[in-house]
Amino acid sequence: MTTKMKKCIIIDDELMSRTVMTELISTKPELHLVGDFPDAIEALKYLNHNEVDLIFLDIHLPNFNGFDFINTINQTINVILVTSDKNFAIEAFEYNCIVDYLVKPITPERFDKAMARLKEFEGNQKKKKTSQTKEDDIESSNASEFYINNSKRLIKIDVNTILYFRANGDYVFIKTESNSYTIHNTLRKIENKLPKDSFFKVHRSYIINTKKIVDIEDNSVLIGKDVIPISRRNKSELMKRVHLL
Amino acid sequence: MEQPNIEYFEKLSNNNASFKQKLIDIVKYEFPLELSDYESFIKNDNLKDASEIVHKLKHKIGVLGMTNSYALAETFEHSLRDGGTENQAEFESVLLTVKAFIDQL
Repeated sequence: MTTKMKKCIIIDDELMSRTVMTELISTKPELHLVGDFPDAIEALKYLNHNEVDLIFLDIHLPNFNGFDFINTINQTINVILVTSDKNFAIEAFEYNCIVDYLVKPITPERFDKAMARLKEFEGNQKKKKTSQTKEDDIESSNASEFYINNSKRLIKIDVNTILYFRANGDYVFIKTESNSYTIHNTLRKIENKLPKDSFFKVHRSYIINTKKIVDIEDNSVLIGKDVIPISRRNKSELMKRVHLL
Repeated sequence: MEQPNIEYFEKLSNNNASFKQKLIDIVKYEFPLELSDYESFIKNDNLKDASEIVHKLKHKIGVLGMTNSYALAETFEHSLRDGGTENQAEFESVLLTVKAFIDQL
């Protein structure tokens, strides 16, 4: 079985550190160094257009410390901290994305340990993801009705009466056969709770009840009296769900 | 007085002479710049920036195998961060030793 190479970058303002780290990375076939940056701003510009799997990050950076950087990228990428400062170790492990904390100068033996930790860390992340997906499936399969919190009242909604959901910033607009509601929630969370056989996300801002479709035309669908856009990417999946004679 | 060495460079380079030389060249390039910044910050009583540059110098001291001096640099770095200058003389003595070593590399 082949292991996918992990794309990684180094962010460190010291040339010595970047050179040592580059050498250590080059000894690991599972790592592919795609960039090294002397400051966090340059790295952020790179990450706006490129995907990476791992960041070797110095904490002491000019104008922007490593933790600020992690907060800016919303902990979405695994990070190995590389620093000459032992004092941040406790703070470091409050972040879910931090795999390890290397104190400079880094020895090849310590780097090997970091790689072993990375493997274990990624394994745990996979397990967590799998169990979350299972929970979501269980949650979605039994839902024939649910309650929404509307102006401090819990209102029961029969799932079969829902026409569609529309995202609106931090809120979601719900249109049913007889009513409409706006609740503080996200489309993604709602999507996980809906029966997958009748609800489909046709657009990044819309989930529709496919049983309520009146007609489909080009890149839109008519639900009740409302025209809902369909994104190009989701149209073929939607067409698979409708029974075309 | 603890003396610097290049054992770390030798270990990392694993008999690759050109990589070892690259590491030597980098320390010969970066150390004088950091030393100059340090002297300037201390002269101007800019202790916060001095602590930042001591942080970098500490790494150079570390790669040159000076374990005890690394610990001393760490104490001095924290002292500067808190607005103090304890251990300044000892730290500067380490810098002189490192400078002399690097000059003859």
